[in-house]
Amino acid sequence: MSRRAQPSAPRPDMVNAVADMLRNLEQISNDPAIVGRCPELPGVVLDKVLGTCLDRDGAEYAQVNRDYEALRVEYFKALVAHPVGRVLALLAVGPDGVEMMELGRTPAFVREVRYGRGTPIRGRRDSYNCHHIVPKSVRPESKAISVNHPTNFVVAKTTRRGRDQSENPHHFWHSLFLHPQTHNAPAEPIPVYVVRPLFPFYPPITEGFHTAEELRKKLASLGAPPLPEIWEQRILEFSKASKHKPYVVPKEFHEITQMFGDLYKTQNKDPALNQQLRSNLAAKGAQLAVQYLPAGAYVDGKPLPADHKPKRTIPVIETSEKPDPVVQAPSTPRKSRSSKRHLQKPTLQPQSTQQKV
Amino acid sequence: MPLNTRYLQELSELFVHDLKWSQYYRKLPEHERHNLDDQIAEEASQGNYPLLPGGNEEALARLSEAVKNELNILLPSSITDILRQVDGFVENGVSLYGIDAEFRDDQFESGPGLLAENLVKWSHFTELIRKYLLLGDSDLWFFALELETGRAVALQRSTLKPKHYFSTVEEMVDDMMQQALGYFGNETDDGEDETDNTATGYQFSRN
Repeated sequence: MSRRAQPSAPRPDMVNAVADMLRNLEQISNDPAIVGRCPELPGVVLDKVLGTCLDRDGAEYAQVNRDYEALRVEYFKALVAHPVGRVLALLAVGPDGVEMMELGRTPAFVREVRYGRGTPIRGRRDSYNCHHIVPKSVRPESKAISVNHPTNFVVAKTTRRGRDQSENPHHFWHSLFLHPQTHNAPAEPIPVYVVRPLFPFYPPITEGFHTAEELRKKLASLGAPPLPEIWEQRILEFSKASKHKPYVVPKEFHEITQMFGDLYKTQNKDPALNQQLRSNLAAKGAQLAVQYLPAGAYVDGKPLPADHKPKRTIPVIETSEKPDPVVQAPSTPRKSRSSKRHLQKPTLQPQSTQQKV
Repeated sequence: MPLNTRYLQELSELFVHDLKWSQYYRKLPEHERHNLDDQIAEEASQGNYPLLPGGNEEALARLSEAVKNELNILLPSSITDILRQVDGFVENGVSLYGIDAEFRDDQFESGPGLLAENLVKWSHFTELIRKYLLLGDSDLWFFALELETGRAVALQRSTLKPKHYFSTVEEMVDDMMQQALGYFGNETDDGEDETDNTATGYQFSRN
């Protein structure tokens, strides 16, 4: 067994950083309805960050790995050592996942094992990765944002079943939002709209809960106390938004893969056709991204025009440069026509208040 | 060239340990647990790595054919050599893609498949088309084979730029297994590692 798998208490500075992270998430909005505003991405907001897209040449491959691993091991331990973090972990990754995190491991849990005569044993596990909200390849202008701080992490489901990527929201975020914005980005600072889940785990639940009582009963069965009200409400809103079923990435976002397969099969090795294929795919990917991104966001190196109106609604926030303990009240959710209007200006301003340690 | 057998052994032991501590295993009927234990013991006694099997020739042939048809490339022998030894794994945020389930006789989905992952990634990240065959990924990197040169390379996950070239594909997969197991760089194999975190610059604000 590797040395990594030794239980030990997390460092106090990381425990404090996790507390900061949870507090920051709470401060994004005290209105639980924010969770369901975007049906395709429940529990997710876009965070406008001014940053420079860069190739991080400063560190060697092995050093980057070591730094990140050291940080992540401590982060996982601290997250499940925090009373609220632990309960959220139990709901999202179950007792098996929590045990792994206590050892500093990325959570995963066994779904099924199969073997037969002459066929070796294989296991199927639900797996998760630690996602950087502001990618390591983006250098934020704001000193309030630190790429390697728990406030910038989310434990995201990354389960893959062949061509079915419906249980892989993590890579969905990369392909829908991050890659189109960072690809061909200019060397100067630009606004990057990063995916910021309102939970430290995504999806936050593996089953639906209709009422607070149901949720509390589930937690009691796991030997956990009830959650604070703000988290309880968010969980219930998430469950409602995902129709009380496990969240899956909508099918429309898988179509691009099918398009690729079809186009590729019919083409020969003609370079012109190949180039056309790339252009078609890039256009298709950009089309999806611009349905969500506001005016001024960069897609494939170009800013969306000032009159651009995204077709779909997703809340947009902006992590402010100067820490400010006062969080603006969220705007009242609008109904009917106006509820489909994208928030052009950030209406919620959570403050990144992570301590430097 | 063979992969590092110690890492294969440790990964297998880790997966067996996880299985035996899992809610799934604990809820199995007693006779099924016994059968599973027997199978694990039998595979280990034959010198195999339980829960970390290698790919068989028929499945590899089907995968090669499908890669040729759907990606229009020949699956390099360096990749089939790897898959013969370890048919993919997912651990600690590191994934090595395996033979897609549809090409195996049991058709059991046990992890990301090489063809499916390349179809998905090539369609979403158009720079990858025909330039890299992806073998795996992690939080920070894509692990790939540069098709023109046959070199194994770690690409920055966000920018898709090459970050580190390995001397062989095996060296890259050994590195992936190291990451999955939590071994890094120049750490020694014994002794205390309490100082490792400090030595590697444990600072949230470094970026």
